[in-house]
Amino acid sequence: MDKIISQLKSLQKIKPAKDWVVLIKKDLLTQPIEFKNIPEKISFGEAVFSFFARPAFVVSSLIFVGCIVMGTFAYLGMQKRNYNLQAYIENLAFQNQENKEALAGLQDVQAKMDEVKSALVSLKASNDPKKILATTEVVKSTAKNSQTAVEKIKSSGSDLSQQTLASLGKVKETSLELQKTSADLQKETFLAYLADLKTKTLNSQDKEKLVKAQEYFEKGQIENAIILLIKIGETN
Amino acid sequence: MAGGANKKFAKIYDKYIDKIFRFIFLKTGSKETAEDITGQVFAKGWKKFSLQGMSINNVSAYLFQIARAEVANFYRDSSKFKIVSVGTVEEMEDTKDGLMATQEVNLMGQDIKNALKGLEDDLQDIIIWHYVEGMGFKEIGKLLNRPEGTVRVMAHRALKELRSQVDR
Repeated sequence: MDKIISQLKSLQKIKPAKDWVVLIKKDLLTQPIEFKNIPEKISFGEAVFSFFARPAFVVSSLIFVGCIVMGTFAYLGMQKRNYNLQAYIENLAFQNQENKEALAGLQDVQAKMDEVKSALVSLKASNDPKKILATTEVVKSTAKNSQTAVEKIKSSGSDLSQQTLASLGKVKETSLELQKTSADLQKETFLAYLADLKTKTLNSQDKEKLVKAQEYFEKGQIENAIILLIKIGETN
Repeated sequence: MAGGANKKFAKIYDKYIDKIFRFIFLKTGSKETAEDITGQVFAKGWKKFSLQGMSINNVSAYLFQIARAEVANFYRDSSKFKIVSVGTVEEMEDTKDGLMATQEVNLMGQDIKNALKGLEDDLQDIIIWHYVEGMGFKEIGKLLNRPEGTVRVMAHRALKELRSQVDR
């Protein structure tokens, strides 16, 4: 066998420490995720919503869903596209602080965020609690990302132009505003939907989800609470 | 049901933990970083596993995709691309299963380190996946979103470059 290939195969001997493997596995599998009522096969509705209901995934992937405004949210016809906002902002700012393109880019982001702000109003009017809950979670997460990106740039000590700094400040301000608006709408929708569901006849699985969702909500674990609430009524 | 999910994901974890760790370790050269990132990869996998009704299509591809993205994020603020060092190879060799003498491992690490340094990111990945992990070109093609034939050609080129660097 080729010497190089043989050497490469030998790298298979690299392994993580056994105690670390055991520790991580234990930590991982005891994470508070509700499995009890998640069906083996998910419905189309769940498949659609599962995307929105994975804020952690969205955050980590830095996907800025819905911020490329071509219409309104979700069923109102808004097209969505993956958008790495955080990296985009950072790149723009670091490329060249005097670069007009960077400034224009930040202004573009700002404009898109303003549009999202307006779209949240339309979303509220949709009266579709599941959609509102899922979408606000995404907006919250992505707005948080942009805020983080801005803070990171500002604290980096880079010599940014006044115009860029001003644009960054505006983006941060809008990010905070978006987070608050979406969180408020989410909370309001969550409580209203929860109250509504309590008046309905639910099967035992959905009842459990409802109770658990309320518990999560009260503990501040909004993400888990929303996941469960969205799944109510979608199991067979 | 919860226990079933745990068992299922535990199997996935057991099967892929070494591969994912190794991939990240070879890309970052740091045990601590590899541990951190590997933990994140599986945490995300676990999350997806739960949200998608305890199933992930093509687990291997999914986990490696996350690993790639996480490594890219790790290096986003740095243009440096660190490849496993001799010392860390020695450190990471599994003492129970490792059959190679430390000296030999050191030499191997040195060769790989020097050779891989000059390769493009995708070529490094192909080398690790195909020649270290034994993955097929078709599977790698899916991971890189490239046709199988292209991956085959890239692998050939990567190996050729590796050889020329080692022979220097």
